[in-house]
Amino acid sequence: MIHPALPLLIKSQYMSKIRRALRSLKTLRGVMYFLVGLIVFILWIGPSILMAFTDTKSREIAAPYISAFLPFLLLVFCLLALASAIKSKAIYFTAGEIEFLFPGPFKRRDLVIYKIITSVMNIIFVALFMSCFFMRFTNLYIACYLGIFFILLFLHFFSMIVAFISLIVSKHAYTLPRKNILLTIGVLIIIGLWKGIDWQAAQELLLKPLVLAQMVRDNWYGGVILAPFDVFVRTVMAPSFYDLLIWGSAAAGIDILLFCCVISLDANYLETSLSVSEKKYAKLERMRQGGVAAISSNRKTAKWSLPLLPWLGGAGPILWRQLTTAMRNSKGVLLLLFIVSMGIGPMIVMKGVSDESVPFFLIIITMYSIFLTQWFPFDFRSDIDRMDWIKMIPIDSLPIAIGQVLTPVLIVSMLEMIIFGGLAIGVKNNFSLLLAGILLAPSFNLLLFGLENIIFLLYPVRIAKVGPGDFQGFGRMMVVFFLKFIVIILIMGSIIGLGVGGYFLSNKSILVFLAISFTLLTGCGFAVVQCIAWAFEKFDPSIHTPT
Amino acid sequence: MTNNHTEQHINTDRPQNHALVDVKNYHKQYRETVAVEDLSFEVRAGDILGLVGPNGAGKTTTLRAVCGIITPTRGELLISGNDILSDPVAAKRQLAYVPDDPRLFDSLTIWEHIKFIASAYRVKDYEDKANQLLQRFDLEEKRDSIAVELSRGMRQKVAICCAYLHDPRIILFDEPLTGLDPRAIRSLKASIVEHAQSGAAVIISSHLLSLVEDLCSHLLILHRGQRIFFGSVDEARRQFKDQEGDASLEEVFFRATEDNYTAEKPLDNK
Repeated sequence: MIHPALPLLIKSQYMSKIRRALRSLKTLRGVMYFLVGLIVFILWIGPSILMAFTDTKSREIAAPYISAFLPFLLLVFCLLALASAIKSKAIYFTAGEIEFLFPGPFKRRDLVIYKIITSVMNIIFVALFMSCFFMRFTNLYIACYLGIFFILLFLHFFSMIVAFISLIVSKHAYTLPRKNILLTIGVLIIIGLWKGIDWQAAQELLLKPLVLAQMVRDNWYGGVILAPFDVFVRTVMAPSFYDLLIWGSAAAGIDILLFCCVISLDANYLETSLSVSEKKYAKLERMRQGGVAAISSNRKTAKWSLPLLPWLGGAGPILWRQLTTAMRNSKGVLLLLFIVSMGIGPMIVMKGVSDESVPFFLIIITMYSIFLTQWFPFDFRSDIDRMDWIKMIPIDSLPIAIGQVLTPVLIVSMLEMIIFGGLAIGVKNNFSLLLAGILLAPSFNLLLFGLENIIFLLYPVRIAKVGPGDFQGFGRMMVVFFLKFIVIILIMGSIIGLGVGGYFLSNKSILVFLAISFTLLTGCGFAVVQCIAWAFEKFDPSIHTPT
Repeated sequence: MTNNHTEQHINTDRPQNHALVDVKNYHKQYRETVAVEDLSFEVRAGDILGLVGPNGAGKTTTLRAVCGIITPTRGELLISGNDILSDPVAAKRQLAYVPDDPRLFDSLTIWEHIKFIASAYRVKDYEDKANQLLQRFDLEEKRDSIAVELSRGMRQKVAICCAYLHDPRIILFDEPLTGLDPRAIRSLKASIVEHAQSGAAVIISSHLLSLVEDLCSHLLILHRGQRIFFGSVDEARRQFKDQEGDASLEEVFFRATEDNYTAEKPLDNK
């Protein structure tokens, strides 16, 4: 049995979460955030639930695809889990768990069970959310919930088993010859699989995915590999309670089997977990300070340095520091750029670049810019723990504000220029609209990031992910987002309105439109920077630094 | 000054009780990097051992190995006679570890930390003792505060209270004074002496030589993973003395960690 202190710890942690949520409901702002979060969540999830009762057609259409492809999807998830678990070889513990549980009088098995219980508690909630989305494609809600619950549990246990096995193997294969033997075995298996596949037939069948899926299932090897995943899919799609009982029991049986495997694998994971958890904690800290773009940076030494910028009234050194931080996180920045191009690229391919499609892409780029403000917080938002230090610098608040906010503006503007450049290749006549985009983009970005920084300095919060059930965090996010959106719509509406007015008054001169819009938008950008400087002056680190 | 000279003095002032911490040829290697090389030392009941050395000397690696968080590449670590590798639970029941910059459970209150530790170490009727500890470290008014809202110093105090709650026979401190206010520093120093007097073995890893000078009866100097000196503080002063007389602990530290000073060979018998 598990050490009695561990269930007590789990209970205390959940009780304190509830207590914190209730405590924050005592303020008007807390109640408002909660209600907004709840309403948006209901609006988000409500249609899916409603459609489960009204729309039977989508179920009929989707069911064969889900049954055919979900096992493959699960297989891919398992392969990803396999790769990730082989790399990390450990399960993650929080800093508090490491400090108190690792030196404590607990068996390793106790700690594994503790982690499993906490994961199961999370899976219960996650499965609840996921089942609300997917219930319209399934026959029984309870089957949908249980199926998803068993699937998530399966993936969790599978990752743990792979991590433990890989830890045990790596303990025995620490020498180079042993590693080489393992590598050779791995390469031989891959070659064998490669040779076993009829690539020509596969290529022909790629255009008929349902037939291909069925062929793989009918194949003996494919059938065996997919069999366990099939059990989970049949549970999710169970048409009756009798089927649910049969397939649900089988799915539960597989999970129990994996649980027993996890428990019986007595790997000494403490040190690896310590190392992995410390790295993950450092990653979270980096993310807290540098946003999503900073996740992948783990270098310990710097091989290059940006040349110092000129003084620029004091903005130069501040800008240099933020630029250096952003460049040191260039791997993360590149990753984000890749994600963005993955989003825009297919659209360009599908829609094709032409004079007619330029307005469409301008709207898409504008929307991307709005979302990108969250991903590049190389400004005041990443300096929450350094506000004392920034306040101490003998430079006026205006150059500090300029230096702080300019880095993300430059990064996002550069990204937009690359996209505009790509679009320019396909455009023949509609250059004026493209030129408008190129001219207005930097000022627009300054407006976006400026607003983001003003809101942050007036209502500072740490960059943290919103967990399931955290309606307040979700609500705050939505309130801030809508507020920002309304302000941007108002400002941009006024500017474009005045620009269009000038356009008609000047006998449809696009140059007049551009000149008015550019001047007003740039003016707004500078006004926003002034506001940032004011908000920075008002910021009191002793009061406003959030915990 | 030869290494043999040091070995002769190690056992001279020591009571003939059992070693509560007995480290034999502890070696820790990460791929090609040797973090700690064949380290041997022991701490007996009533001893306060100061573990000193420059940054990266292997102090925290040693403490973490002693409390069972990391496994040695080779060597034996006995805690109150229990091998930390083969019987970790029995060994860990005897010890408490206060890390540098303690991380607590973010969402728990101070009192919930105490409750958890009492349950983990099976301490019955802990309330009175816990209250005394909280009072001693000025935490009684904060007992319902959530950990995430505590300052660095307060987190340190909570970790110390948790460490003392189950009356451990061995207490390991890693930079214990960081973030503490003067009153808490005084309380902590007094409490360390009290625990040693009541028969506990204490290891303090610190860069504050004044703390080591004030409290420690014995000294272990590490440099680049190697043991430079192990013995009583008086012995260290004598071994590293200059022409004018016994050396101060600061002089001991600087002379011992000079690059041309050779490391001691591992102890074969203590």
